[in-house]
Amino acid sequence: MEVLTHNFKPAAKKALLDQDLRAAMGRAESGFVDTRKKVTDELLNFEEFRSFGRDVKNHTLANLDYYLELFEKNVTAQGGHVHWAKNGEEANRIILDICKQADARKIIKGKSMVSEEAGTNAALERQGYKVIETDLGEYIIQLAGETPSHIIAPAVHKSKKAVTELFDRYHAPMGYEPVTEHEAIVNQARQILRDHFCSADVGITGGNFLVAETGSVAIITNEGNGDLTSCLPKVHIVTTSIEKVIPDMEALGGFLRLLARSATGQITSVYTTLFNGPKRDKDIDGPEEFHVVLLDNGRSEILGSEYQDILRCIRCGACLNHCPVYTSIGGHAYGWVYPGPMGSVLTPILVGRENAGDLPNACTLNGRCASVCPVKIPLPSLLRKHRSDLVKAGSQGSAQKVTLSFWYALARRPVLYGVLMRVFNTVLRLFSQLGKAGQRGRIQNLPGASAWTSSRDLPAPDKSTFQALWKTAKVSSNRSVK
Amino acid sequence: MTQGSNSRQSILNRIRNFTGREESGEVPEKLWSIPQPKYAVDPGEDLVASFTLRLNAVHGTLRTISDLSYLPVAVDDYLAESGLSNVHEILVHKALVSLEWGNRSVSSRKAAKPDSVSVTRAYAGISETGTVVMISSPDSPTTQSYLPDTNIVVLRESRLLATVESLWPLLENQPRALNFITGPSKTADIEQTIVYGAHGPRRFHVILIKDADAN
Repeated sequence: MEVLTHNFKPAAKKALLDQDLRAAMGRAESGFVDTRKKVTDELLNFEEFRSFGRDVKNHTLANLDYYLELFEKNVTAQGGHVHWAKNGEEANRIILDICKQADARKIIKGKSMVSEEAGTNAALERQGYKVIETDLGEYIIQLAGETPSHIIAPAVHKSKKAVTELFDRYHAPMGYEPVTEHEAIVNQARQILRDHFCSADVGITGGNFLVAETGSVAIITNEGNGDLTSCLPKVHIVTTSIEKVIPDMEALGGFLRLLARSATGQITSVYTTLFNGPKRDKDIDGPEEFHVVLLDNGRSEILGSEYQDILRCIRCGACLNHCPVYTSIGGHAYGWVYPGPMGSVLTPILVGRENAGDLPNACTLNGRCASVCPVKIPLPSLLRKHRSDLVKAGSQGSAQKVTLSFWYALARRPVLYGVLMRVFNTVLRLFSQLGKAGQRGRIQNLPGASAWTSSRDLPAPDKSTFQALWKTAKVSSNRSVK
Repeated sequence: MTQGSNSRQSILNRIRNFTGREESGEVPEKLWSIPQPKYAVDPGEDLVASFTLRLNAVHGTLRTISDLSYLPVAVDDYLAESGLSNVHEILVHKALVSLEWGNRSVSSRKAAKPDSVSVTRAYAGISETGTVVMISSPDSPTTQSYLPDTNIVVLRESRLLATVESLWPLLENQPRALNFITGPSKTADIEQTIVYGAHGPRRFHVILIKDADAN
């Protein structure tokens, strides 16, 4: 996928002014957050499972070569093939070779972020293959010529109206009537994609977990498209990455309890499937060939680095759903496959910090992402580490440098600082009184800061400054000691 | 595929720079000894009740019968309730072909696009999540669980397990595909609104057989 991370600032600005996007993201945020909370509370010991997830991933990463070779051995013993790809280009060459050997024309796909990373669709289409995404969200954005804006809900930014118009444009020439309601929209896609499922030569899916002990690939879905993609065509290719391997089924049981709860707020997804190689003797369905493409693309370099914790990520999307920045600007502004907190950590490493320096800075360090991460990745610390590395590399903007040195000078003069803060406080409180009735206490318009206030309100500051409060608290605590 | 094998070696080499392992096959020193937390929700004595609760919560339905021979009647009833009485041909698990299906024509083969109803047989059920476990085999082709609009699954009560952990010891070998299915197919890809019947079955009905072992 094309890297557009350098364009983050203008893209984020544009996104903030897009009312349809803001409405869509608002809907998604409340849906994901509330349902997750409910089912994680209900598990009673979700915290223990989070620690388990963290420890298992750490153990596997510490022995990654062992588990990858074990996985490979067991896939091969079941008649499958494992291919190793250094980067996306190599992964695509491997996939193209398999498709060529199979004399394929039509390729159907289940959702795979690794294939987005590699740009597999474009590579296949360049060679004349017809590629059809079958996850409903992916199908929608494929029609729209867009990229996913969320790692588990690729079309989360699209309104129903936008989907209706899109379907009308592409499906009317095929003889389909216009549809307006959710059920009818889904049903129309179902009818069209059924024809593709039953006529495709190759199916490509992702892989959520690779179980080393048994050589199994696990995919976890709700729609059932991943399963149809894997059991109908004569060739099944799994595109996945090296950090997805886990030791055994016991580990899988723990991750199954973590993933659906964290991702969609479900106790379990509708479909969890373990693939163990190609069609067997006397089997009457299933693929004749089974391939697993293991992508590295820079991951092995993260091992042993300060950023290693990000390799635990199981791509649930909970950090996106709980991020105030992501839920305001959506996924496209981030400019690559992985948005939100996990993306802001991973992307600068995989595409180069010099191209993606704005991503780690687009964070308020509120810590919600870390508090919901099912494998306890310290996302805010990793983002801070990026910031500090950016400063060390000298890629800090001059405006930022001037502001910080000004603040530094001020902070060392407490009296002046206190006076200025009180003045600033009074001015802000004055502005907060100017808002519309019922909106008092929120600053909606501030001269010189309209870029901020045009897309969000600034809460009015408290009557008292922190320093004033600190003084009072000190006085009263001294008194109570006496 | 020399390209692939070069990459294999270079990826493994980079990983070994970190793990410090010299060659392949060496067992990790501390092999996998992290205790898994127990699933702490008390499923109660009654596995059937908790299974049913979970299944119903995701729009799956369940009916209990006392003997496998009643299956065709139970299927009849369900199809009638669903307005599908006129479906003449249904796909079934091979072991179910010999039951008395009356006027219906049953066949055991892989599913194709026109097939609208299948009656499959679960290997086990998991009460924690309301899930049925399907195992692919020549008698139980995977496509039967995914392509038809309506999937009816036969599950023996004696095969109902509390959690997924009880399943692993039962499996001597991994089947080609091990499918965990929990309710009808669904999507929330458009505006977070749940719609059933995305790509897999729209209707998902479990017929539970009260078999002797369960007493």
